[in-house]
Amino acid sequence: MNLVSKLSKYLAIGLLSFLIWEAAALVVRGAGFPHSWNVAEEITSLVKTSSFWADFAATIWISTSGFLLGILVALLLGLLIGLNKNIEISARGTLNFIRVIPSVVLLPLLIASIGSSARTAVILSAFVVASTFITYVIRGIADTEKQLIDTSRLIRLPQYAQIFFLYLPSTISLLGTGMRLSASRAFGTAVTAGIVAGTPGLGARLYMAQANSDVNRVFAYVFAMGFTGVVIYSLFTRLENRLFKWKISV
Amino acid sequence: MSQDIDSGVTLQVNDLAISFSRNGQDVPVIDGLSFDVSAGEILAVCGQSGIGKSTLVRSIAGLISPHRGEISIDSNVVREPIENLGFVTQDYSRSLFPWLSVEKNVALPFKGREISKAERKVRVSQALAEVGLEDSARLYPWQLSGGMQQRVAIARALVVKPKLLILDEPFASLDVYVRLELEDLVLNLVQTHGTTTLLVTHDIDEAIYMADRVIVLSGTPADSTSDISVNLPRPRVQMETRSNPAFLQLRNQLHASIRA
Amino acid sequence: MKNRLISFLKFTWFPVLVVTAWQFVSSNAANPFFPAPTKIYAATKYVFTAQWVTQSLATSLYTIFAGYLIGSLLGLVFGSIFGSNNLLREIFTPITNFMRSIPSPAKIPVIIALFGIGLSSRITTVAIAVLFPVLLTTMRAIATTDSHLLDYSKILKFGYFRSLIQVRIPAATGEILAGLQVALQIAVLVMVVSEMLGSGKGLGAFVIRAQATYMITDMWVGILTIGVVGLILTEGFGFLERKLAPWYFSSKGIK
Repeated sequence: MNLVSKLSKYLAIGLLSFLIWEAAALVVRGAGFPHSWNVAEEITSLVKTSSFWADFAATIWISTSGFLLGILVALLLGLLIGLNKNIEISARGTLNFIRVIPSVVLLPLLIASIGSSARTAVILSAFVVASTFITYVIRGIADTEKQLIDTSRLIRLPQYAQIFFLYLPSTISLLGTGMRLSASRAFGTAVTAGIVAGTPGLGARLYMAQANSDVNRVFAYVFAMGFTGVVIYSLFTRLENRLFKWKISV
Repeated sequence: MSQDIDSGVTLQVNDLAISFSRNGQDVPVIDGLSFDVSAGEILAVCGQSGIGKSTLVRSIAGLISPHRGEISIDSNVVREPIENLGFVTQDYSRSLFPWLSVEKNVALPFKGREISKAERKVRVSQALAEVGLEDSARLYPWQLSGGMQQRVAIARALVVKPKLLILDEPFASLDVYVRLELEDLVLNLVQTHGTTTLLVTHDIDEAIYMADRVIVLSGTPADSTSDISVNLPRPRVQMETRSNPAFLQLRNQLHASIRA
Repeated sequence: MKNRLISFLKFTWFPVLVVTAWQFVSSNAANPFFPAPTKIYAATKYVFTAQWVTQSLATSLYTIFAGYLIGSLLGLVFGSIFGSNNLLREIFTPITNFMRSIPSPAKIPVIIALFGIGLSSRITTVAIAVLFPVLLTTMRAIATTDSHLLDYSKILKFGYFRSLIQVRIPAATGEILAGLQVALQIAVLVMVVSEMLGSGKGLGAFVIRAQATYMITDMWVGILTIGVVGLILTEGFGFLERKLAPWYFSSKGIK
């Protein structure tokens, strides 16, 4: 019964999405809004080509390296800043400024200085991830349970042990949301760099399809990106639930 | 290194004053408090909530420094937490490290101390056995009930063979049956080890049942209004001790001085 | 007074140090990509013309405001409707989730392919980019209203609209505001990218043109202008938020 109701729910959602789509296609017919079946056809032929998977792999590679690099930088810098009140105050204004600047404005600078290679995209997504994640790291350190800080003083825990047994695990347990957001942003930035600067991957292909006025293909790429985005999101949600069990049951 | 003969410390609190700054103004919490605790004595500190009991023991523990006066343990002035200190608070759920297993929580005080791995292991399992948790060593705090979590906190306090044990409302969050059980457990342990013990509680019965002496904090800023010896026979037995006429008389006496 | 000075210094010494170091290094070693701050400042004198203000700055601001307003209004209205009805919420949550998972800048080529890259297209892209995150957070916030509050509104015999307007929406304010703040940053991002993709107008176009013609100093002026616009919008949002929803901040104890 449960499975049946679930299935029928998704069927209804699928049907409704189809109807909304076709209604949109009807309204924007003149502009060339494609029928859903045309896009479906395009997607099936696209995923059969090896070049699509090469582009996909390039985007994933860029996002992953940007993500890991950014997380590493944010953790190190965040610990340095967050563990010391004075440094934290000094860095606050600068970090706020960096956070509100849309990072794409750095793309022209990167293109001018190092070109449109994959490296440009990796650097940019690492920057985006680091500037996103560092706020979570600093907030995580600040949110460390006061009683645990007291306890670690009472049992005379040495400085290194305080970092490894108190601040680091406490902070990491609060970082689930930040990780998930950072991963989506790493992927988004890899795509954006492709669209704007032509760095390798799905983004550049999307831009090319649009430049060639191949509407079906534009939709197909956007769909592929949407699926990837959903997969990344649910992957990180699962990871979070598994890693931070204690948080859920507290 | 191992001390086979345990003995508690002496504690002197002399003309203690502590204030907090609130909105830029200093608000005195405790002013002119003095008392002594002799080695191995169990002293209960009573008083209404918010009177400054926790502030007092936190300063004795070396977590906050007084504005005036002195706290000395075995004639040494307290400036930071002393080495052999056990501390148990009401919030067991927040004072255990959730990402460490029970045994790792209990072993944590040994970090940075010179003590062999083998000895650590023995001491940890000893402490766990003392609180009856030998079978839960590998579990995580969130897998335990409240009473069991508080036992872990007690084991962590005992593992360093404390010379001073501070219990800050240790049983206030527990239901009454667990509470009576843990009172006896702690009483038994501190008596066999001769540990000097400070028990903060708002529960008069608990204070009388456990302590050799009870002091009452009252007034704003607070100082000690009465200092009452509890001459009930030991070992104490829950229902028997609590129905002793002397117990009831002490209870009335304390009640009056808290209200005063 | 002295304390104020110290805290001011604590807050500012680092940026000042960075700018000074930058000035010092760039005037000694000629790195073409990092012109000295004094040079950038000097460039503002010829960049900031009346024509630049109307063509680049005003266009960008107009795009943001119009797109953000349309997108967030649609998101709030539909989010409130979908969030207060279980069936609609079940249906639209996965759809909205999917739409939100498409990186916002990737939605731009779709609009360009359909409608070209004029001003109204750019406004549409901003509106669409803002719509889905606002829709999703509003829907979720409205749906998770405290059940005690809902029981209470049932006891008071509130109808659907009354309970939506007087109970559900006010209770969801905090989350909705957080969603709107995130959407604002997305709006700035999408505005810049859509202008970079060959519109010829707006700050994004100005920056990319300066880069293409190797006017690195002009490019820096553009980059910093966009940064300042982003900063002012975010700060302005925070200011309005405290003015318009003070109960949320006082009840949460957030300053």
